[in-house]
Amino acid sequence: MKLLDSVKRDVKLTLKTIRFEFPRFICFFVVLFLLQGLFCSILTLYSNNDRTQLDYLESEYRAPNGELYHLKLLGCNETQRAILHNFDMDQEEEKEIFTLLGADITQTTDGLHRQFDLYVRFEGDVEESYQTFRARYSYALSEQGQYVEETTLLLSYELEQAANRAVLILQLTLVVVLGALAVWMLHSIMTNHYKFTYGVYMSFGANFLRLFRTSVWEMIWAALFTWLPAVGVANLICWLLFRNSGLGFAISIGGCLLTLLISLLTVCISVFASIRSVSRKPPVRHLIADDNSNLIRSPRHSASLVDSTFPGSIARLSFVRFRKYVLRLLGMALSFAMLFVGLITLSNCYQRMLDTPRPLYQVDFAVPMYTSSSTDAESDGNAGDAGEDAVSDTPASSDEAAPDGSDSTSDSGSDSEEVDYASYGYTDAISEVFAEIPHLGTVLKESTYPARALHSHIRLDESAAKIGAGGVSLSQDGTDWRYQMNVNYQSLDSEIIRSFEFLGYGIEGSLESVLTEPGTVAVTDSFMGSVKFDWEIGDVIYVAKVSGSLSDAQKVEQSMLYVTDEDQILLAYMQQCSYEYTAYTIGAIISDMPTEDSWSVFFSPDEYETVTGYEPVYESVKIYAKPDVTEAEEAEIYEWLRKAELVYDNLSVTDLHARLSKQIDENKNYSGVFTLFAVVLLLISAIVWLISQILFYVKRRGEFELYLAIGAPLDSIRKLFLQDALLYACFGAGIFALLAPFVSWLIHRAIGYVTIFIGGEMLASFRLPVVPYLIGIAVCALCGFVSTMLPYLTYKKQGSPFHWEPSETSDQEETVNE
Amino acid sequence: MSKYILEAVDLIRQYKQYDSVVTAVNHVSLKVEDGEFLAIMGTSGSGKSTLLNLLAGLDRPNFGSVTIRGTDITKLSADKLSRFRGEFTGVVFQKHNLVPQLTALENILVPTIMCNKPDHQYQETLKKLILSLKIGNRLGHLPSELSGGQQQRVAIARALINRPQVLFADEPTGNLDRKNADEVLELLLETRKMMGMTMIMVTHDMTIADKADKIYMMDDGKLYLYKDKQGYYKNTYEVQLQAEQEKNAPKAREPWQG
Repeated sequence: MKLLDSVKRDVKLTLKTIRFEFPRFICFFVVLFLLQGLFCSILTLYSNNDRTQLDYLESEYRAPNGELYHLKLLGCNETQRAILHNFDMDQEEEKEIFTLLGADITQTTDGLHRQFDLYVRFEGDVEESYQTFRARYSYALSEQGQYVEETTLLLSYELEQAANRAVLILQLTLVVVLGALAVWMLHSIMTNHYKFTYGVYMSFGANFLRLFRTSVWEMIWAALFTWLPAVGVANLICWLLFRNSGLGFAISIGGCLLTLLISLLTVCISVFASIRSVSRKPPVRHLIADDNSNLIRSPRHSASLVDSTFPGSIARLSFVRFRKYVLRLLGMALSFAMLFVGLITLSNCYQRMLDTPRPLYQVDFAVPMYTSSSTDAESDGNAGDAGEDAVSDTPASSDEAAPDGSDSTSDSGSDSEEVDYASYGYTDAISEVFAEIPHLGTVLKESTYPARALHSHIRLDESAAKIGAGGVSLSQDGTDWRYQMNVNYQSLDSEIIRSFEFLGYGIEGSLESVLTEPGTVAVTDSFMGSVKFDWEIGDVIYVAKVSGSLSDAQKVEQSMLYVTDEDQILLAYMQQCSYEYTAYTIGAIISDMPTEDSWSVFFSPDEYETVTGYEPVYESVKIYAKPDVTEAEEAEIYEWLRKAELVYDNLSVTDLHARLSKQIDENKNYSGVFTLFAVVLLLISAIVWLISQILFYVKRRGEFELYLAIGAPLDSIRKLFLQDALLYACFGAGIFALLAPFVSWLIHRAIGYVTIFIGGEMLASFRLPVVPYLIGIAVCALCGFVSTMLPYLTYKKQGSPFHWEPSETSDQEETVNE
Repeated sequence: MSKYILEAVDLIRQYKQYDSVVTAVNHVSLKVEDGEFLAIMGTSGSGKSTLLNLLAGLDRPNFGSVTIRGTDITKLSADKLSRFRGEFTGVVFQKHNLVPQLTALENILVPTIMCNKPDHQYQETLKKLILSLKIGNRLGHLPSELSGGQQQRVAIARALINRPQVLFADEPTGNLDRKNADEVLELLLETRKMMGMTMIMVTHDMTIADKADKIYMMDDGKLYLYKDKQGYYKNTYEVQLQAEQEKNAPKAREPWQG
């Protein structure tokens, strides 16, 4: 009852304050409206994406009996079906890992036998059950004949859900932190300007909790008043987004309620921080702001008021006099403007990732394990020849076309002395066969060898490495070198060059030069999603090769088994092994290639063999379709590959569900969310400028009155405002221009690391968006100027300028500075 | 238990002003008995308001202690000190310091809201205060709609609503004309008597100070006793002051010092 009474009093008191001093709460109404709109948009988009994603998957992966399935076993024979049925029946009820849902029955091409596509649903932890299923039953099934396993996205749906939730939590946390920061900044400005009231409350017994309750209720009212309009607008925006994409939209009631909850949390955090600092000061510090109204405390500054340099020196002085305030204002307003550019950078990254062509299928080839004697081995089976025979619309029979896959497979690992690796994997012959795939965009092949696995490294000029490139820096013979081991050696041929062109990687120089000019390589300029090297065509890098006995390198490898610091390992190698360095000239620089923690050097196949000791072998390739292929055309590609899978028993096809995953990513609309987020932050920056400056100049009106009273001409006050406005505009734009690229880069790196940490995709490399950057500069300059001139224009509009009444609330210099 | 409701020992309060340090309160010690009315007088800038703020716990001394009812308030945390102020002290400011958006009644009730006092604990006092301060017909008005005298009466009612044990008043009639000042002072003294509380008042006005049990003079941050129950110490005060001034004055230079 006492609590209820107390709450009733709080509510009454705060409502009255808001009603009486509505103008000072306008900024909170605007900011909370924007923040709640953002919260609600994120939650509504998440909820709708979640629903549509599940709808997609559920419509896509239904067995004949209508139930959802996780795995499809294609082309099974009667025996395999019976075996799987028996396995299903034999499972103990409580330890059941899968259920056989049913089968599609077709005839074999010869029309003699029945063929079954079996649908399997996993129980419990589906990922784990799938692994158990493979371990227990796949071998038994494969013994009875060939079949193809096709997993569905439902299998990874829960993992995907967890990742989506993590991203949602990350986004919300980011918004809450930034929102709390914005409200805290504005609330601090307000409490500083209206601290008199807090001083009175504190004089009569208000402690921190009491002040907090009073203030937080004001903010709660602001949040409550703006909640409905904000969720309304947010749902409207989301509906428009979904309507454009032709998807069904549902208002998320939970999201709307959660929006209110999160915004209340945000205001609590911000008010807590702001009131904490108010409550720690003695009340007299807050009251004195009023008791000494209209006084300018600095006699030194006052003395020079009417000298000939007025107002120039004063204006400059005021920028210095109120330096703490100026710094705080610039810090607050510019940080939000910088976040705007940072988030637009992220938005662009997500859009680029979305626009990048995605592989539809992955084809893996069975290749025997590498052994030390394999390099000199002679070919004993020619897959290429067989492949050439098989060129047709669809692969021919296995007798004609198969590259003797069964023999190859049996060779792997056991019979190492006579293995010709060049005849395995994705060979030129297979390439010619694959060229017949309908609607094919490109086949991306990759043969990679990490430098570390060869005990090798790269030496490059120190000046080419940017901040964050890592590696070991050493000076030798007056030259500063950088040594790096986080590099992959890759093979490059004309087919790969075509693939790079298809994928739209940025290429400077000529990739063909790698193939035509000996001693020329291509390099990537980034890893971990950001540019780490400042290469130029014609630069020279040195590839290190162990010159002495390999046993020293192997010893280092053994001793460094548990060391994770790559630079420490590299240093150990360099200290204990002798190396010879071969110079290579950079003929091409590749940018925008998605890389993880290593960068790449591309050699011609011959150079690759020289450096690594092995011929290039392409164990797996990725199939890209032409742009704008239809779903039916994609199905044709898959059909073609499935037939190839049955013909060539050394290859297996995996559906990467590109269309579905792209659709899901488009629905997530990270790019849109970050853009929305960025625009909100830019608006908050403008609000911070306006509110802070208006209150600041209202506080200083007594000072200007005094200038007029002691003889300063009216025009000089206008000049004073103008000079201040220009200074704010220049400083605002200048500091923004200098710091925004760095802040954007920092945000990009931070989000990149967090994304990898939560198991997401590597962010596209950092690129400062020029137009938003220029917009940011313009907005900072404009806000600095307008927010300073606006109070002047308002006063002027009120009638005779500077005929203010003696201020009850005007402040003195030190008080403003606090 | 000590017979003193308030004891201040060796208080020092300094402010930094640009390159110099100003000592507003300089080694001040003071003892106030329960129910006593004490006046502090002095010229502008002598440090009397600063001393009052220190005694009321509105400011912190650089050195020394203030004990009210056995509690050393200089050792209390900001939160506990606020609560203490709400429970034990009341303040009347020279400039009224009413909250502009609240009506007279709401301003009076600010201390009860800040201390979470339930209605029944202050209803009786409120009625008495409204009656004795004659503000019954102005309760629904905002401060801006009240005259200076009425505003100060509201401020007095606000200071007394929680029935404080010590009332601090900083030139409560300084902003009023003589007629209003006399009226407000009378009301304040009557109400104080009715409630039986200790009062420490800063004033310029000797006619007001004369009504106090003790008068202290403040000069350059130092406090001197001027009057108590035994009578005036005018001469003693002047002697003390002269001695202090001589002690602080620069010594005359000898001829050879140049």
